[in-house]
Amino acid sequence: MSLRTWQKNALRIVAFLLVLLMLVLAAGHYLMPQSNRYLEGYTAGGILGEDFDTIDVLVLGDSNAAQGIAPMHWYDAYGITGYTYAAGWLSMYNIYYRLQQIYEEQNPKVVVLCTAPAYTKKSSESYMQSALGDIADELLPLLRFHDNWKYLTPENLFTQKDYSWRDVNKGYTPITDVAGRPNLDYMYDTGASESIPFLVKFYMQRILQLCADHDSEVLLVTVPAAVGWNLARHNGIAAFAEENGVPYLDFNMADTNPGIDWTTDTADGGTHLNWLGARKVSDALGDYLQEHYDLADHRGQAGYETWDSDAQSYRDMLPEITQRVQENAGIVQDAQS
Amino acid sequence: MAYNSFPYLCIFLPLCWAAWALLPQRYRPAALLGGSLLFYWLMAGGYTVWLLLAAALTWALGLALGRLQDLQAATVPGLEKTARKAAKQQFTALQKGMVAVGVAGLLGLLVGLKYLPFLARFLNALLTRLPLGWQVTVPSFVQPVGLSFFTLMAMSYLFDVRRGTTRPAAHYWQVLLYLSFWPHVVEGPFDRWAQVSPTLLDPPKPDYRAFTFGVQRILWGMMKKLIIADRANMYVKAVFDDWTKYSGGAVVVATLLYTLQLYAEFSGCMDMVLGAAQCFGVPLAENFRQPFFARSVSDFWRRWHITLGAWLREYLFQPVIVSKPMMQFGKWCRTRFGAALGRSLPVWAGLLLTWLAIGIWHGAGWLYVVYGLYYFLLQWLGEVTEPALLRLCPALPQWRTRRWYRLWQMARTFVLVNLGMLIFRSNGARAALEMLASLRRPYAGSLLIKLDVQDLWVLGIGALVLLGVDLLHERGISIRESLARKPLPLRWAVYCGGMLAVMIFGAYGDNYDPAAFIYAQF
Repeated sequence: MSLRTWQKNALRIVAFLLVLLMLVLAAGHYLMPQSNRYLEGYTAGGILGEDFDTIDVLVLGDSNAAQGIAPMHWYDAYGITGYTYAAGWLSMYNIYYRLQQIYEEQNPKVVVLCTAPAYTKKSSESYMQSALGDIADELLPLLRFHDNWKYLTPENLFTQKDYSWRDVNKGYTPITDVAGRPNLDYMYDTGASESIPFLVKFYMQRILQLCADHDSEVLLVTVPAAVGWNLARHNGIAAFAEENGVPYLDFNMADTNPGIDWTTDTADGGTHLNWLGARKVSDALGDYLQEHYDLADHRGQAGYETWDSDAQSYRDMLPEITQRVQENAGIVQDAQS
Repeated sequence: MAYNSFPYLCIFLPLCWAAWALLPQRYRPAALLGGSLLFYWLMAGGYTVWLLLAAALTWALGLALGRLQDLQAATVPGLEKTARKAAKQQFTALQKGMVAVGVAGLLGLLVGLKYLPFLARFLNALLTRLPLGWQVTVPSFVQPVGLSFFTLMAMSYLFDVRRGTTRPAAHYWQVLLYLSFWPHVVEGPFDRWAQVSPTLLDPPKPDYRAFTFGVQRILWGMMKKLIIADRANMYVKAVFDDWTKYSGGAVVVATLLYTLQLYAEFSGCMDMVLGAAQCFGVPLAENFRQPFFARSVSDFWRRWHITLGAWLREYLFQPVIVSKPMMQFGKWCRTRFGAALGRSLPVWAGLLLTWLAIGIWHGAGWLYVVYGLYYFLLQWLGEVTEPALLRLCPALPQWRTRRWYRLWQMARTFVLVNLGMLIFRSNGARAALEMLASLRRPYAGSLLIKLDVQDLWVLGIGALVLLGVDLLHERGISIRESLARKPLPLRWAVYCGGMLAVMIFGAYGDNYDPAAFIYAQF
């Protein structure tokens, strides 16, 4: 049977695309970072260094979560093992695919899905561009790690990648800078509700489904953010939570606010929390988790030795961080004066 | 939806091509029109109405001009000599009136949407000097994307119909497709109706060779834009946006990188545009011809943004210098200043007008006036000093045939163009002057601004590759044709290498600041 010209041409194009795809996948493998420390912004990649099936609470979110939720605080207080998988500009599309990967190694009982990524996107991109770009990044690692060519050397090109690095702060990044703002009401009632963009909502529902498939309970949480959050967004998420039957905790609301003082608890004028704010949010969220979920105390248990040693490192680090942030906030000075 | 964006390249373009190729031949223009309107609406939203209005005005006047010409051809030859002359005059006046209405409408659209705030600021600055206390307030409109391109193309259509060099379109959708055709609506080139309408309205069959050549050209454009232009933008933006912090070497590097950025970006965009059109069998006009091999600034402008220069030469400069007032001005000059100067002055006046138009076309601001004047002064100085140079150096005509002198001319032109680029990119005329002055002050800081050493290596190699490709083109070698004759494994290796290069070395993602196409704002 002889092929027509257009059939031959179509086959040629398909063959070319297959060859290209193989090359793209191979190049993507070689461009992945040598260590899981650099897999993602902040210290999210450290989750791959944790022992299998040790994490009971998984926090997913963007930079607000990475700077606002300190899971080691829970281990110290209740023995709850948690990890904040969060990084700047992480979208719901990214989160869905990363959660798929995390489930290959962990089986969290509770997934805390932070809500800021439902509305954030880079201003230079449309929602569609942002969605397509992020999804393509997830499907083709080459696009996500393309800039790593700068760190490739003949020595490390073919060596085994080491993904055993662990973060003692379990994904949280302590910030000691203080750049306050007045305690103005940013959650005033405009009566409006900002709907979640269609594709974002679709992916949030996929995340819920993925969690259900793995028997994880989902809790929606909004980390306090005086810049970038408002009542209209709260209403949009609340409607989503109600529609999908998941609990929702917005720490920006008066009844759940853990006592954030925007003059001292933010590192950058209300966009992100510093350690003072993160401690309050982590305390409040830890109390909620302890109260509402059946989470075991793993302190001293066999199989959690690394957690105990990391908790000690965390405790050793805290006084210095606390002192630095208090100095920056003028709290120590005030006390002295 | 930029030409280098994922949605455009991976969704819009393949879907349009599939619709165009699968539809029966007579419906293919509809696929192009549908794609064009969708593309424009995605870019401009409600402002698409301006494009629809411009197309309606152009089509109606073009059609009326054609009818008048038909009527003239049918009636005038049968008349007596005196009546024929009178009828001809009436027909000419009517046609001129129609073109004037069209130009006024299209120019009004352009001025109203693009230049009104600038004109109001200028007028108010003048009024503040008067003791009247008057100030003018004007509404500020959002400039729809591609305004400067589709209005000028619409005018060229009317001029060509008026001149009888082309027949008018019978249907509104035909003119709308010509003006809105997505590959050229955002950044040009300024295509002529006569050149593109045959393939737009009567598309050829899908052709594998044209398709692959088009895709190759899009890939080459992507390489220029993503690997070179967007990377250079990091350095350029840092220095030009915060120019008071930098001087000497940093300003020189930023200027050189801006020249590289603009060339890679604009010519890269044209590659993507011409490549996309080639996939659909539509030959658009070339807009670049190795500009950095130019030996003078006027030669440079015949190689850079060719279709803008050609448009202004054909529809502004030439009509102006042969216009009645200019002829009278020439006569007056000859009686006052002698034959030589009398001949030159009207040409210089026409040149001044053209350069000012080139400057102003780029944007509403004094900076662009200065930019146009800069090139006028260079060209004018070149012409007026030529006799003195020949007297000083009688061997000059001989030298001009020598290779070393041609290289010197290219280097000289390159430096002058770079100075022009500094003016063009700076944040206003005052900033331009201060940046020029800052060149004398050494810069003590590191020259690695926003970019690391690896990025500079990529830019250096990228510039060399651009130069090499331009050199081959200058020698008349068609790289795509040569490549097409090579064995399949070698061809695929080159194409896969190019695509991987874009994906790996492209300046996109979190570490870079994606830059919008510069010429899209004009």
